[in-house]
Amino acid sequence: MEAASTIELTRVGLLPNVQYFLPPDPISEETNPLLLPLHCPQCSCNRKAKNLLKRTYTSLFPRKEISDSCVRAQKWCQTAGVSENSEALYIEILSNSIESEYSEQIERDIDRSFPDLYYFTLGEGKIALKRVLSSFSRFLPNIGYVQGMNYLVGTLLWHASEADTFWLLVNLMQNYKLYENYIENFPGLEKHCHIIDFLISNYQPKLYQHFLQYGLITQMYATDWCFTIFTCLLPINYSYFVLGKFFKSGWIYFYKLVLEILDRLEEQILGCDNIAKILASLKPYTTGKKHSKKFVKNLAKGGERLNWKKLAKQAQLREIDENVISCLDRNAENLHTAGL
Amino acid sequence: MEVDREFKIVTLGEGRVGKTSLAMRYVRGQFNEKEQSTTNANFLEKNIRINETSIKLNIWDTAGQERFRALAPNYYREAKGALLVYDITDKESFWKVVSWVEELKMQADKDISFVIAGNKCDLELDRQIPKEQAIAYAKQIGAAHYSTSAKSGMGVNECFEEIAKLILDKESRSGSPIRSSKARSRVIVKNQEEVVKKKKSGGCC
Repeated sequence: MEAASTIELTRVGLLPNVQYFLPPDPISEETNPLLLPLHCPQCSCNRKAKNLLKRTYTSLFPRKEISDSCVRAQKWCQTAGVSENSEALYIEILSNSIESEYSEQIERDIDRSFPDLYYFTLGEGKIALKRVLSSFSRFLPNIGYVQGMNYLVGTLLWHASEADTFWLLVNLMQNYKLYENYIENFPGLEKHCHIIDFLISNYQPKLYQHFLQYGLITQMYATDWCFTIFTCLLPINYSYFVLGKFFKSGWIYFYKLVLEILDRLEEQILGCDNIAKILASLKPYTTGKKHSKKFVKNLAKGGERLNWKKLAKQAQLREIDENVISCLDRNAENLHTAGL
Repeated sequence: MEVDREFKIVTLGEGRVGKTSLAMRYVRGQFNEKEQSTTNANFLEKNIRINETSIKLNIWDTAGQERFRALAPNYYREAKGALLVYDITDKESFWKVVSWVEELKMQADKDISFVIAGNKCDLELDRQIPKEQAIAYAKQIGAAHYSTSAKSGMGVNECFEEIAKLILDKESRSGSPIRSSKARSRVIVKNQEEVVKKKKSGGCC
């Protein structure tokens, strides 16, 4: 089972120097009817598609019966470099992924990822979520499964087919270096928090001093954001505002959004006289849509009507010094490879 | 409301044993059958009153997955109390508690107080950890044991308040300053000579 087969890696754009688990014997769909995809994206992106043909096609068939990725997810696949025809390989990997050392943890998390959504608690989405996570944990065993991935995968599934979701995830891990966040000791998390720290000290020095004074470290509020690219914070049908821009601009966009949020909260945070109050404004503790609405409402400045779409857009307009960020990024990586 | 003392408490244990549910039940009085899985840690606070000392509990509710253990020191550092949670229907989760105790004894504040909570007591029929065994273990490490159910609310207030009491007791025994008049008088009665000596030498910070 463990031997990696000689499937042409280039076919799906895999990196040559990374350890992959690849299934030894391809299993045909005929022998394994259970492997047929059941999942259909639940978003309504296609209904708003500019392409008339697609729009008509969608209006003729209820969304629930189309298993292809929506127009948005297809765009992400293009941007992220997911090649077409990768479904067969996904099915092969899936057929070898029924059990992994992460099965138990995945099982523990699967129905409490989106507890308010029937689709992920009892519907087909539950199976799809489990299959993508299991396949991934088997495919890249060094990363495996880490809590937080469940939100990301669920959000991708909302828009994309099962196979596309899998390959988008693989691409996010590799090309967007998301894997650094999840591997042992979380070097990526450390790096991003370090960069966020730097940005705060530069752009919001008062806030930086305030955090320092009350012993608040960036990991305390930014871990969820880093691990899930904000998908744990946004309602699932709004996540694409952020995710789409992340696919386009990568971590630069992520930092911009963090700064946008902190900027809007600055006054409120400076008024907090202990760590508990600061955290309460950065990390409101309720779940679901309500929590998200409340969070974004709190970010509105003087009478402004703010929603996630606007916020995501405004963040993109921010200007930050990308050269410095890429320097910090490189430094952190060199330190990591040097084993420091 | 004026707060006399502020304690940092951390919840630790295997994933899905009910750490978040216990904390939410305690702080908000709510139980959500469909609690979301935790990434890294959540933060909650609650004001309580014990023996006329008003206390603010800062509760760090951590993620259960093994890999997050690397981040746990951020949360148990300087914590005065730990609520170690296991699921009575899940044998593995009890061993996780044991391993947390080992780690905290080595790494955490040496005065840290432990309370062990056997959660999901509403599922008594599926119990896999004999209550006696758990209580015996708790006794052995000098911790209190509570049978809890975040669902029914059983034992929830008690286990958190026990942590606060244990911390207060420890503080009063070691003689660190406590603003509450009652607590202070107890300290002086118990260690009067010591306190006087310390005052004379003036060495206490």
